[in-house]
Amino acid sequence: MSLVAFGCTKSFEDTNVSPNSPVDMPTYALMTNVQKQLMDNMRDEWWGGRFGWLLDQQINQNNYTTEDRYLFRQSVNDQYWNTIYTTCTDLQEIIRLNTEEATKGKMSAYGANSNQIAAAMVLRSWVIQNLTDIYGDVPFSQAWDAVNNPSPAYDNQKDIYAQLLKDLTDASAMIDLNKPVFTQGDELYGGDALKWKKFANSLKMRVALRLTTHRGDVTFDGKTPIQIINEVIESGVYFESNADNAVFTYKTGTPNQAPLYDAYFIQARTDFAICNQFVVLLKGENPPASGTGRDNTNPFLGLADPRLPILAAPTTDPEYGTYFGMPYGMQDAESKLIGINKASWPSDKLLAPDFGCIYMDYAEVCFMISEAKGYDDGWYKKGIRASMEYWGVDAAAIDSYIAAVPAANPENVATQKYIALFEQAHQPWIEYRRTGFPKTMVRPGEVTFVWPDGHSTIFEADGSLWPLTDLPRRMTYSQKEQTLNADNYTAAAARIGGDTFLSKVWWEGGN
Amino acid sequence: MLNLVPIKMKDFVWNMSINYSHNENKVVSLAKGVSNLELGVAPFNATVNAMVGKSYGTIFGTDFIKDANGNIIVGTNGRYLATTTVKPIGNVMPKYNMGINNSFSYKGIDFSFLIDVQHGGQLFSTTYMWGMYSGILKESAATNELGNNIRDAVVKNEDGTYASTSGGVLLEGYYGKVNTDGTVQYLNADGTNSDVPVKNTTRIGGQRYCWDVYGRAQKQNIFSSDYIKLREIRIGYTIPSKYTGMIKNIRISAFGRNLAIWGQDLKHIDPENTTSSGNIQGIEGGALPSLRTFGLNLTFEF
Repeated sequence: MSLVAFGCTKSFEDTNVSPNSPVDMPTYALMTNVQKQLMDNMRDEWWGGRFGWLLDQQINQNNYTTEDRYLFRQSVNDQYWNTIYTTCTDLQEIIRLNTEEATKGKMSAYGANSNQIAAAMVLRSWVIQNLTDIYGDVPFSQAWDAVNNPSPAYDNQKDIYAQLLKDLTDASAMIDLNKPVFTQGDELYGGDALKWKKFANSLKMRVALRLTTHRGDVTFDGKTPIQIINEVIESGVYFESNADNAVFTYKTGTPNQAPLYDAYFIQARTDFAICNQFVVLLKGENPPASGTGRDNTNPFLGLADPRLPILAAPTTDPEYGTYFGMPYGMQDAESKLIGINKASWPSDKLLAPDFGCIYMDYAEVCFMISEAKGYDDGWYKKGIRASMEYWGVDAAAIDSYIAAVPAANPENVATQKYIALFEQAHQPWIEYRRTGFPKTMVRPGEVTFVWPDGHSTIFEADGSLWPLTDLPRRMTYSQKEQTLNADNYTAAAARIGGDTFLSKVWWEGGN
Repeated sequence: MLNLVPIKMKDFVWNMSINYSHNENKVVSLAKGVSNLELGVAPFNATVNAMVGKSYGTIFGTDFIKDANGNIIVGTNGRYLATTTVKPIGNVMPKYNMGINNSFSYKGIDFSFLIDVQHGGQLFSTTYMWGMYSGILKESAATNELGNNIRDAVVKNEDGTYASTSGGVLLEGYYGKVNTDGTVQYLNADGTNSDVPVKNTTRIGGQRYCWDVYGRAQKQNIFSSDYIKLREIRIGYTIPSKYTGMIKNIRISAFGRNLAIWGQDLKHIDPENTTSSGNIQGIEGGALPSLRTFGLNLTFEF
């Protein structure tokens, strides 16, 4: 028996370098990944179905109603927090690769450097606004250097909003309209620079509008939120039709199908139905009387919304009606009494594998402009029309609905906007917190459903650790922050008045 | 490790071997700027951590709300509360592990049994959490202090007191709530503030009690991972060589492993059947039940 050994010193350090792994990611691939990851994780059965859509009271659960009653899974919360920051890391990488001398030349093959940076800043702003609207103060300015600063401090929401407004202004300004944004991989706009500029400005309107209700006097570079919005309106560069909508469209082939299709047909879950509170609103009916004396009547009483049969599927068993949503917030046992056959599922259109998840659309811009102009009736009706056209309502039905709909006022604009924001998980709830509308939302302690025999079910938010008389004002931070970033978490929790569902975020008048 | 020979006679020997280990440790430092490393994350509600300043393997989860004297605080609805932040609620490291092996031989017969002991660590039981939530474990159909099944309806008399036929659970604790500054405020049963502790008299339904095992303080799912196990029994016989001719040392033996367990805190599980993968310990749930094994051996030489 013998032992033979060889040694080698030639090109030794290259041995561990895989020729198949790219060292510098092409930026367009990072962009595609971000665009998909965000929708995969925000409009799916977890962050959408067991979180955002529930708070919106537009889609809710018909089997396990624990999250409907506000006992959210910490793992889902942790995963979302994580996903936001990891997708932003990709966006930061796009910015870095387009800024550093060593790489910017190479990346300019995929579109003008400044355009790519602008697009990354727009998406980062979209994501971070979402994050801060849901949680309040969050890490932002210190969040991007995990190597040197693994424990970032939490920024005040006021500073975050100031940065968002600045970023969107800068992004819009740096776009070169004569060059593509990305030569490939841009699933939102196919690299169209003008559309990205419109997106940047429209998003800026969304950011500023959030502040008008309770923080309208705060100035950013000398301008109040309403002045910022008016400036955008005057520029004329914002979404002008549904053709400008920022939509991520999935594909029919595996593995690129839409998240709801994945939930229903690949995971084979039947856990979600259209929420009855939403169905009742669209049917033009009143929800059950609140039982607390609060007026929760439907502002569009008697008016059937033609979007209902497009968004909701007819029930398999029409015992409660052809279109009947699952009442919100019942106990598991009661929701099973209704069950998946007697409640309307999301329609085939919503469950299609090539569904398009919406980042932002023209209808919202119309409602924002209407509100900025003092609840202008013309823009309000444009918004209704835009939403109906997007979902495929035929022109005659749109015309007759618009002729009959009550005129614009704070409640009507907010309620129509709530309907138009359907599918954009969390946005309707965020706007509800800002405006207090629609008043048809069922609050903890109120009647959510009256059974045929006359007895009522009260929506008990028994999953909440804190006593609620209205919907949560925010979501609690990821529990991982409590152990992995303890000092900063504790400071932030104290500053916002406690890490609970009750603490209002800054733009709602909180700390 | 201790080896004893309590009895040694011409034909009979009794050997005893005892192994004992004890570990004390503290996490001194991690990477720069990092004060906690999450070793493992349970699918629900708990994590196992290496936190600077604490013993390795600290389990974090929500805890009960307690007053300054350590008494549990419940809401005016009679339900447990939970801390907003996660707290150290247990540690996976046992105080000691011990093994005791006794072996006997008498003429050609040998017999041994091994007992394993673990004491002092904790685990987080997902089985208990979901088993209670779903009403599968027998604790979810326990008998309450009135002698009724907790699943029976909670019944009030006309004067507001509870009927003797009431089901449900009456938790031990005082009414209270947590102020935004973290201090505990005692309450009366009607929700008004109280300066003194007021004992909980509000019953909660059995189903509500079980759901709160998932929805309230996760300390409820921490159990000790102590056990005493009859790890192995062996019995064998070596046939004397005068009967076997050319083939020498024919020995037949039978063994059984994992034969019995005593002393568990949570009787439904085997505390050794936790998620144990490298650094992660102490998360119990979803494991296949542990197995008893039996076997026969035949050895010979030629």
